[in-house]
Parts: sequence; structure tokens; C-alpha cells
Amino acid sequence: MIGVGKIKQYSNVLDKPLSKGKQEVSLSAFAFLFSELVQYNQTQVDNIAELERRLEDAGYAVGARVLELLCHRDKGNRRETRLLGILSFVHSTVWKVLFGKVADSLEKGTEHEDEYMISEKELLVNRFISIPKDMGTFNCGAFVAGIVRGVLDSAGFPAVVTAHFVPMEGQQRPRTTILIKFAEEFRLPSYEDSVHMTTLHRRNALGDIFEANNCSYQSTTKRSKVRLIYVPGLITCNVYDAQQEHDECVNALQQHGEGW
Amino acid sequence: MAAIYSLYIINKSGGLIFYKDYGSAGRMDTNDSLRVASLWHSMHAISQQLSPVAGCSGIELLEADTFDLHCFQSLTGTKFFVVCEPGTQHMEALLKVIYELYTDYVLKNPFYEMEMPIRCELFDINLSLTVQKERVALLGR
Repeated sequence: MIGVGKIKQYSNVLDKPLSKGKQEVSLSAFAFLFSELVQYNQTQVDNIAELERRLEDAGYAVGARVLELLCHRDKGNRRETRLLGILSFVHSTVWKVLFGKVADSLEKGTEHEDEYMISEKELLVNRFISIPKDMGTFNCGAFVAGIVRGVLDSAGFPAVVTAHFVPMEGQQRPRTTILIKFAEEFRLPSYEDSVHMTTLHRRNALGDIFEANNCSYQSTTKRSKVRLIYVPGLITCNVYDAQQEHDECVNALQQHGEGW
Repeated sequence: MAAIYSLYIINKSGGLIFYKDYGSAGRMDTNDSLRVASLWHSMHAISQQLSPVAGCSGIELLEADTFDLHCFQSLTGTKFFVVCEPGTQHMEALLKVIYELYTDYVLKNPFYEMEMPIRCELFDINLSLTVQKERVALLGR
């Protein structure tokens, strides 16, 4: 009978502090509900990819709401605007609220700059689920991938998120890795980027990063076209017409002369 | 020395949905195990009818010269039974644990169809862990 006698009586309901609510639900109840969700969606699809997509969509709605709730509850109505900030928010805060623990690991992909991985030795949703052999690499973690995608998307970091089984040496069961691949414009700028990417693309990418990260990235190249991104106004404006954007850049270049 | 010979799970209509043997003693081929399962199902039902006591829930223990058979029936009619060495203790507790594993790893698995043979990797893994633990405990006693 934990908590009995602790409840303070408030005469006015408005004086009552916003409670965090009960933090835990029955694991069995959740497992049965999730099982039903999977079973229902299985009746609605004719292939595994479709089932994965439907589970992800179900998770997406959860993620969008979780972000809203946690920004309000834990962060005083602020949300992360930096890429690493939002990733660690997912890895620790979101995971803790949803699964009662922080995720086992958050890593950066080795092959690609824009890939991050959240790994769990035993994902809560997979606790009681054995995938039949004929379903191949299907992973019910697609639901969790959807949650992550929902959080990231709503926070302004569009990404493609997928769940995979990764076999572990010396372990009977594979672990689940949530692979996050950010959309092109959120790649962190590197020296190679500024040299190899086309001018328009580069400006677009850096401009968005300015908006998203609010950091002062200094380009290392001396080429004037690259420097144009620092012209105030161009950084924040959202120009979708490439030709118009190009013209504006040319104008700005002319106005500021070679000094820019 | 294996104290537990084999484990059977039968659904409410008497079909064998899980069979596993431990060690060579009392091993059976597929046909024989199916036969044992449906025979036991019928005997269990008949024993309920024949019992002089009202509200009898069927045979719980069958003692023979060469083996003991402990049976546990869940509320939904699924029966779990182990065949073991005569005089083996604590089999009721083991059956309860196996029932728990069944509810966790079989019934909560969205890919399991009710009343169908059990093919769940997690159930197999956890079952062998439990039986191993039981064996160690039996040797220790």
C-alpha cells in the first residue's frame, strides 16, 4: 500500500500540482495489447514490408505525442534544436519514460556520417516475441523505430528509422538496433562536403543547419560562393525555387562585391 | 541420471501441441507421443466422470513401477504433464513454472495461433533453462 496517506487534500483543484501520474503499467497488459496490435495489422496486409510500415506508423503517432508531453513535462516547454541533443534526448529521456531505463547504447554509424544507432540487448516490445523462421528479418521493433521517427520528425529532424536484429557473439539472442538515417540536409558539414558538394546543394545544406543548430559554422574554403551563406537573410529564408535562390545569391554577390 | 523423462502439452481438444524428451529413457517417436497425448486426454476426462467425489478435476498423479506422471490442467483446459522417475519431488512446482513460461512466451507471442503446435524460440530457450535448473536442484538434493 505504497502512497496511502500521502495524498494531500486540496480545496481547489487548480492548486493541485500536475502529477507525473503513475509511471508504470503492467508489462503483461502491454504485451497482450501489443500482441493484438501486431495480430490485427497482420490481417490487414499481404506482405511483411507492409506490416513493418503499419507498425512504424502506429509508433509514429506515439512518438509525436511523447515529444509534446516530455517537452512540456521535463524541459519547460523547450525542445532540443541540436542534432546530438535530440539524439541523447531520445536515448535517455524518451527511453526512460517508455521503457523504464535508458537505451543500452547510442552510437554513430561507422560507414556513413549521417547514421546513428540506438541498440538494445532486449527491446521491451520483443520480450515475449519469437519471430517465425518464414518471416525472415522482420522485427517488431519497427514500432519503436516509428516512435523514434515520430519524435525526430516532430522536433524538426526528418529521418528514416528502421529496426534490425544484429547477432551478438556469445549470445543466444540477437540484439535490436534502431538505425537512424537523417535526411540529406541535416548532415553535419565537413571539409569534404564544402569541397565536393555542388554550390547550390551546399548552401542549402548549411543554411538548414544554421536554422536547426543555431551554431556558427566557419567554412574553411576561400571560395566566395561558399561564403554567401553567411549573408543574413539568406540563412533563414526558405527558398525552394533553385533558380530564384541562385539569382538572389548572384545579386548578393554583386552587392557585397568581392569582399564577400 | 535424468530425473525428468519427457514433457507434453496438450490443447483442450486433446491434440499434442508440444513434446520434448530429456535423455534416452522413455523416448517416443512422433506417432507414439501423439497417441499418449490423446490417450491421456481421454483418461483424464473419464477419471473426472468416474470420481466418487464431486468437483473432481481429473488425475494429477499416476504412479507406475517405472515412471511417475504428473499432470497440471490450466483453467482453459490446456494440460501440461511430465513423465519422470518414480518418486521425483517438486514436479507440481515445475509444471506451474512451465505454465508460466507458456503464458509468457507462447500466449503473448503475436505469431502463435491458439491450439496449434508451439514453435516459439523463446519458449524453447527458457524451457531448457528451467529444466536444467531443476536438474541441478534435483542432483543437489
